[in-house]
Amino acid sequence: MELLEINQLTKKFGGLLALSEICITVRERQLVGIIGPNGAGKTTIFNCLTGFLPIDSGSVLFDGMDINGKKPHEIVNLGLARTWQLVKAFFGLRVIEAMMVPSFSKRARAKQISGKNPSEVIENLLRAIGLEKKIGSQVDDLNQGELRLLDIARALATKPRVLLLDEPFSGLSYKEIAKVSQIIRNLNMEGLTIVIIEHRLRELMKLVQTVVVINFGQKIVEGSPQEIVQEPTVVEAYLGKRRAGVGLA
Amino acid sequence: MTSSKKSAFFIQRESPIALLLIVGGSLFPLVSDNFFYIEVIKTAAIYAIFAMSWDILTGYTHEVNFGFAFFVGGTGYLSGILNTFFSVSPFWAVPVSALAAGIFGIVIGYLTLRLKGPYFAMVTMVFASILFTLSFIYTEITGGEEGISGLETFSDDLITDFFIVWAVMALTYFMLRIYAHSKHGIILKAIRADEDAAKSAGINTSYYKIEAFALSATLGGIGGGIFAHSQMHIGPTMLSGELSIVVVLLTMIGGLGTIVGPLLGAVCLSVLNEYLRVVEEYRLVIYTGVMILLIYLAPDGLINLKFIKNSKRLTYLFFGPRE
Amino acid sequence: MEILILGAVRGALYALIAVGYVLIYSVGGILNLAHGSYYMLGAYMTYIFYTLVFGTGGKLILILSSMLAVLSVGIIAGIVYYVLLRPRIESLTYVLVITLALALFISEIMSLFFGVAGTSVPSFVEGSRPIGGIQVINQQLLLFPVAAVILPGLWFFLKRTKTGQGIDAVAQQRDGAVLMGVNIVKVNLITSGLSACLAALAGTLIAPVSSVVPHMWVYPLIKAFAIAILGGIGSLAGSIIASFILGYAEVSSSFLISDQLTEMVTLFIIVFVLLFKPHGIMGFRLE
Repeated sequence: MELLEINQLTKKFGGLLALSEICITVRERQLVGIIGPNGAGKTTIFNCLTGFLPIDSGSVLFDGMDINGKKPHEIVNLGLARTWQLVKAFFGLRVIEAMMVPSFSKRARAKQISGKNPSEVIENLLRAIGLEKKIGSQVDDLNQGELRLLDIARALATKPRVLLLDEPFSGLSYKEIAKVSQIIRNLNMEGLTIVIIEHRLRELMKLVQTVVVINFGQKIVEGSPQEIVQEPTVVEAYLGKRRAGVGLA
Repeated sequence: MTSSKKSAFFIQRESPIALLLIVGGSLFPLVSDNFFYIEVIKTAAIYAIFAMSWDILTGYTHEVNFGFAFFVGGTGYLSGILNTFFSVSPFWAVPVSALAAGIFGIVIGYLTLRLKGPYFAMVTMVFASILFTLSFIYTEITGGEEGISGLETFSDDLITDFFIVWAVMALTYFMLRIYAHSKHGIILKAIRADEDAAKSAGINTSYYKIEAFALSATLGGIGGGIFAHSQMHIGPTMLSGELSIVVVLLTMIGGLGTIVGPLLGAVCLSVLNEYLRVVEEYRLVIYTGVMILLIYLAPDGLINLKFIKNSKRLTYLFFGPRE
Repeated sequence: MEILILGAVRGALYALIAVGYVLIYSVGGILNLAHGSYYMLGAYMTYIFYTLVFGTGGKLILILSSMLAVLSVGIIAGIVYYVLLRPRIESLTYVLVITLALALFISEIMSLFFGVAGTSVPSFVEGSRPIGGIQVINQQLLLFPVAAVILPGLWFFLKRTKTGQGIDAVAQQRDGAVLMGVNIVKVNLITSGLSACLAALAGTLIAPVSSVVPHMWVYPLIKAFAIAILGGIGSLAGSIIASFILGYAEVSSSFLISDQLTEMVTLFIIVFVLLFKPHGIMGFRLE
């Protein structure tokens, strides 16, 4: 069933048309990738979806419900969570406190299995993501990669139905990317619908089933990874047009 | 870890120095006959209430409230008016007035939700200024420059008054500590670190910010009401910018965001202030000068000084276990 | 007609104060809550120089005292920047708190030396003249021409002289200016002094006809901030326009309602502007 329906989504910043009639549909249990050059508007889509930016026209339906105009925390409590492209962490807190914050949300409390020790739940979550050793540390002491993992853990703690990951591989080593990819795969197999924005194309293509390509605020094409890499418009978006008489060729 | 604990249990996690101060201070009248000293410590306790209530908002959200006098003086005046014009006993007048302050806290908190940094600071300052100006316009009610005199005290006996004040101070301390360590405190700290991240964790940040504002306002109001009734007088100084600044300084010198810091800072500096009465003429100049010097030397507050943080023993002494 | 003249005078007064305030904020990022104190010191120092240092003297000595007052306030501001603010200038909270504490401190010192009742300074130009059918105090009239000379002079300084251009550059794009070799500390120092001088100038001119009391720093500070918001932080022209708007609004309302309520009206306007329109007329968004 359609979990996320984005219809004719348009967003302007003053005179700049950031998003133009974007249409994307995500079905339950899908693993979708969104790619496109820098400045194409990918993160803007996420910001509009999650209530951080108002929509100019079009509609966004989550599980059939119109979420246009809803506040960010309300959307999270409906089951749509996101991570951040630029590191956003609860500096000044301890890791365990930082993980308690999402557990205080309405949704997490509602979905809490009574009888389970809350700190155990947090520990399990951190273990699933590979951060269990850091449970006693301060957030300030984590490195870039660990902060990104913590952000994912933060989003997962709200027990979402759809998870939006914004460049989860950014700043990670190849080994770490492989680990995170596996985590994402596992989460998807357990039933989580996931949408990923990424620039690390090789790693992304190995992970997702469907790819959506965005450029200049418009959806250019959608298809399987194999189809996408051969699409001339996609190649052009990243590498530019081939011009005769210029350069060596 | 979350929500409140039984009293015996959480006392074990409290700051030893704060506990010492609270217990020691309460025993003071038993060892000393000197009414002047008792008055001094009573005043210090009231300033501690101001500082701690201010801290729960600004220390935990980092939005600087420069108009605290609004709640302190506002409650003082309201309570004084209820007492002198309507013969309401201070035991009722103070809580009711503080509640009114809390409601204003909700309103102002709501209005200032979107304001950051200097805007927030300035707006709070202007609100206090409005109330201050009002007190000079409606002089039939407020007594203008003179203020209102003849407020009832809580009891007929100085010592009993002292214990009431000290008890309220202790209660405020413990309540705020519990609040700060509860989910409310953790959420405020998260909002302080990154409000967007807190929102994306499903937290209604506006609610918690308003709640902190209202709590700060109410407790500050209680302090203001108690102050008015213990001085038996309320005047425009309690609505002045000077009061707001002094509370800010006391708290910052103590150490923002700790509750313990403001308690210690307020008590120590208030005692200093009284001690300076020997040079009454120069007292205020020296007092403010010393505070500027302290902020300059320890911008994060005395309790956050490096040499305390680096020493396990001193950290335990001031903050208690775990923090 | 009275409103026209008095409003212009009030506007000129506010312009001198507000421009300095906006200047140091856009250049140095310093929200100086002691700015009102510099205005106050302009008045008090004039008294100190005229009455205490020189003792007596004619108009010439008076004007000299006035200049010395403005100069000394500028120097004080420079020292304040260099000693108190420079070490921790990144922290807005620190700057706000310490300048506010400084304002209180200065106010207490003035209280100590001169009492709460205030002092008086003789006028530069005596008497009053009839304009358009009413008597206007000559001293007040001074404000407008002085502002009319000083403010364009400031613009000239910023746009045409080398030092001024350095200052302007820092206001527009601090990092870029640093990369171009501008000495930030020197720029901030000069700007602090300049900003304070403007405020002190206003103070010294208004001293003879206004009450010089230890808490005269509060309202000008709030108004300077409000004008900065209204006019758009970063735009000197905007703040000048906003100063006149506020000046006229105040004078008009004092004619229409009672004097007491005028202050209230001003404060309420400020609250509304701050709460609902923090971007102002010109200038860029404060992020």
